[in-house]
Amino acid sequence: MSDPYNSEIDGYYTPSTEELSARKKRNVAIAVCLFGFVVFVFLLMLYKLGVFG
Amino acid sequence: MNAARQTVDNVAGLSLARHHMSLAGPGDYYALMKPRVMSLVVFTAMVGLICAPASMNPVLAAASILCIAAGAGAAGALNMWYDRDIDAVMSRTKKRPLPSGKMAPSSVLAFGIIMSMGSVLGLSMAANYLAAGLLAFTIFYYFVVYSMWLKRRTPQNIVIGGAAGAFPPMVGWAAAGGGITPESLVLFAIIFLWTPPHFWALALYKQGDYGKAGIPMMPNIKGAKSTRLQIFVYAILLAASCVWLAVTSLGSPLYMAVAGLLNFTFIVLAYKVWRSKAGDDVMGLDEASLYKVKAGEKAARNLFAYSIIYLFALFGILAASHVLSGFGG
Repeated sequence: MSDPYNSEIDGYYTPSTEELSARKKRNVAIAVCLFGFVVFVFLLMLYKLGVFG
Repeated sequence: MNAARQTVDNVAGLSLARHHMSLAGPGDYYALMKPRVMSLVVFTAMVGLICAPASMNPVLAAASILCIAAGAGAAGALNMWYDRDIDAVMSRTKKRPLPSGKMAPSSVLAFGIIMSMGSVLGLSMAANYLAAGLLAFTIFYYFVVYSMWLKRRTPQNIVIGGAAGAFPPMVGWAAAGGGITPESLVLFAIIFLWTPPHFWALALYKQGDYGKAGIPMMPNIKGAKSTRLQIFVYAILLAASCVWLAVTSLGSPLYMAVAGLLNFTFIVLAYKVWRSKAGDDVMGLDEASLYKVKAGEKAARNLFAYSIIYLFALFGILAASHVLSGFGG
């Protein structure tokens, strides 16, 4: 029985241009959403503290 | 897990597992949130927020609406995750991101859960705990009570499940600090009573699709004739709920005039559906009867299309009359 943890990797998958492009778009969208959420929470906190009057 | 759901998972698995890369883009995640349903949720929640007796800071109000929209989108994504087997069967839904194999079910589930938590947390910060609790309950109701329990078990699925779509104006009202009042309950009742004629009109001319997926919609179970009668009865009850609203603090002459016209048209269209042959079995019919069924389906299409305009117009006039009364007084 072969050892799955010590077996040799028999090849690498090369992603297509479309796959890389889709992944990049997803990553950018996640980054924008996370940044937006952080800004959202920060602004809410400032409003609740009455910083904006 | 049922066999159909396993098949969809296998399709997604075959296209994704080889190299763990998907072609899904941000647009596919947006599609998971059911944007058209979300627009109705946002609009009715906004009207609830505007009409509430308490005023709200515009920035916090905008943040609350954003959270309600995200919560509605999360519920839509969770519903698509659970319904991926029947979505693959129905022509209306088979091109959705999951049945088309663009993304893995686990990604959709994770997306739905994260969005749910983020939206409820955000609303608790932007508005209050009551509004956040109502939003959490709405997501739970749509995902668990409607999608998991009712949809595949009873022809009353959209009657009881319709409550999920009726909560947003209550959430908006509570977010503004109005709490739970008779007015917000009537807003809930209007959407609750609007849902059955809206969906059954669609089901009358799409019942083949629902039947193929094994969903017990009213026309498939009780027959088209009974469904048409129930559509008419609900149209009357809907008009009654609008009269009920007129005697609350939200009633105004402008609202009563427009709501009267809107409900009169709704009842006329529902009456036409009731007296039609929409949804009747076409097997073995002669040409004249077949023509009547097709004409009836047109009446059902008209009611379905009008019902969407009706809800936007009714809630729009509520908000408008409230804003105008603010300018007047």
